[in-house]
Amino acid sequence: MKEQIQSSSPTAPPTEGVRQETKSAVKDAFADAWLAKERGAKICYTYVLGPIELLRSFDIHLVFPEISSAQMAAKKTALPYIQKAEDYGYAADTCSYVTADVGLYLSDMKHPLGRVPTPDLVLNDTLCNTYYKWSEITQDFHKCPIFTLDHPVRMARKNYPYDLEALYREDRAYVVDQIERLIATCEQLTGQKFDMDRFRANLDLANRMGALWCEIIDKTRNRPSPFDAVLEGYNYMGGATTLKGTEEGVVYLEKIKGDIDQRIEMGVGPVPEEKFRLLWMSAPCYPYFRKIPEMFHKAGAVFVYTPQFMQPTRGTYRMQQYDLSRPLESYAECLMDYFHARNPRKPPQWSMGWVGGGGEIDNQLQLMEHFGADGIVYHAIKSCRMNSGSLADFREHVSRRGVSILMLESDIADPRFFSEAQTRNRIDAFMEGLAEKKLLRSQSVGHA
Amino acid sequence: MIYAAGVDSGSTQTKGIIVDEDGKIVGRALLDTGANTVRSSERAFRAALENAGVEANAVKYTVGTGYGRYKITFGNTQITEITCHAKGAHHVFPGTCTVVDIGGQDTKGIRVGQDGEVVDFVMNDKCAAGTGRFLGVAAEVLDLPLDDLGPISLEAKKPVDISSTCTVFAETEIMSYLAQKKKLEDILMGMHLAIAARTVSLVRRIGMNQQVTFTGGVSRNRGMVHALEEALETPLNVSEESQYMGAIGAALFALERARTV
Repeated sequence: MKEQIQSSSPTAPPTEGVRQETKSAVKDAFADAWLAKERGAKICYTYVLGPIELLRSFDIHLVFPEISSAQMAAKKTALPYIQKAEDYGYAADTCSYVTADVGLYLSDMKHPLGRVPTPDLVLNDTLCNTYYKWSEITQDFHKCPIFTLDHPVRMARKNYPYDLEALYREDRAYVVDQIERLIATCEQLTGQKFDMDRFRANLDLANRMGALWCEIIDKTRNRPSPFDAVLEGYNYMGGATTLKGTEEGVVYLEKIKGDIDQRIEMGVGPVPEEKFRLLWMSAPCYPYFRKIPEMFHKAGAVFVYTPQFMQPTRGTYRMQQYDLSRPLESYAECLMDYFHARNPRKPPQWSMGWVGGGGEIDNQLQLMEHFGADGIVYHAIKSCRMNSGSLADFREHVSRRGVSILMLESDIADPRFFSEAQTRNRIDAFMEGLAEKKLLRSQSVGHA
Repeated sequence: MIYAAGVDSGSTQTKGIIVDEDGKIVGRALLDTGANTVRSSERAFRAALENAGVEANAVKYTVGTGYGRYKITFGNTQITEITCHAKGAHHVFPGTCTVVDIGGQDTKGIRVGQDGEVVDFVMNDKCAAGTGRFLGVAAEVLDLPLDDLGPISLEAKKPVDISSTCTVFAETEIMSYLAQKKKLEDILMGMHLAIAARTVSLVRRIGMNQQVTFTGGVSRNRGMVHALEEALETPLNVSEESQYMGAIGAALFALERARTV
């Protein structure tokens, strides 16, 4: 029998409006891309952490392969595409975003949301190991050029054997040089001259979006949390990424903020009675995007934060704004500073937890405190070792510090890695444990 | 006198337990789950009542557990077997800090707090390697009753190395060792050691603290107890009740609720 989750309150301001807007922003992306192509704009495939503001200053139309694969998965249509890629020769443990995308290439670019235009440029970015190969695959299929934007990351180590500031300046100059070459590539591709004022204006919009986003993601500190960080948060994030560095993006986030403020004022959240607050580590299981959070909602648990919330604010994370007086240098810094945990100049702050180490453990404990969370759910993604490799260590170390942990395993796009009975069993047991812990704690307070 | 019941609908077997108001086990039943979970749960409940000599209306509260818990429609509530095994193990062996539960299709490691609460747990992931099913396959291939595997394996002098962690491929390895005229007891102990190795790596993820209590259907197998004690380098708490531990925990939760209802 299908479980019914009660809505928080019949008088709660609708998140539905925002959800529809997000849906149409992402859904219309391909139709918009075709319109842009008809206007003569060039199409660039770029990953969600790519140099979006810069590309947009050339009227280049962006297609985000990760969002396209996530959309397939969320619509429960990814599997035939993934299987097509496997039939073609890709291993089942290849990133399922990639195999879904390859399946799309092998299906005459027919996506469930419409036909996708082929790229004139693919922008590789060295933030994720998979991007290197993915962009090569795209190039191979579509015979388009690749531009690789390489930004060095330095592992945080005690007694770092170099002058960090000097090294940072060298790295920055290296990235600025690449940005300048990317500008030249875009000028050649589009025939448009680079307009620094326009770029600066995009950065300004990104700064405004970043500031709004930072406000939004901090609002889950309210009790009850006005929204669920997974169920609603990832939707907001999809919209914010698609519209990054645009006027529409600012309006979109203002609308979300307004809705959330209204919900806070009314004291309503995603569940009728918020009993537990949880952190979600890593990306969601898109094929069962609603199902998993709703299993938690049933026990009165709400997700209040995920470190992936950094993504829509590339460069503006935690109010680190682009410095408009020195746009290129500042842009380079923001590319490099994205991985706080891999930048030994800065302590890890709310990072993705990709690297591990003592600082990362403290970081997660701080998050627990900041958001008043009762536990952490780690989501190990079968086809993404990048995201999941460190989770077993985290589980061990964070749990030793007394934090309740649940490890779930599934996948970002491949539905074959999800087992409903096993997932439900783990979630039920975890929620029982949290309830018992709460009860024992209240009893010991009562006895004191 | 009031009574409470626990019914554990496992993937292979269903267990029923009746406790009296002092938490003493007065009735038990064990039968195959089969295809109809609702019916086997009801039958286990009835059989446990009969074993206890108690009428159904004397049972004030019933808790269902196990994978089929949501099918235990006559019960008052459902609690996962993870929470129930911790509770049951803590009741039977109060010094329990870690529970190793090997059932028909899954293996669990549970870290237990001082009040019998679950602190952390880990389970096998969507694969029956290292579970009771592994032994079920061996019994089928070797045409032996399941209950004979443990005693025969204890005769082993030179256990074979079963390298496959896949239950299906392990069958191929057994066939290959049989063709090489390896001794039956050595092949069987090899199987037990393979499960033990898999279990150890699972349990270490949650950090193993003594005392360790072994529960679930496979805990009846003496060969498995031996292999696991070797692999974990620690003696295990095992009792006649070990197979019923989930149902015992469920019955104890039922008793707690019966007292407050």
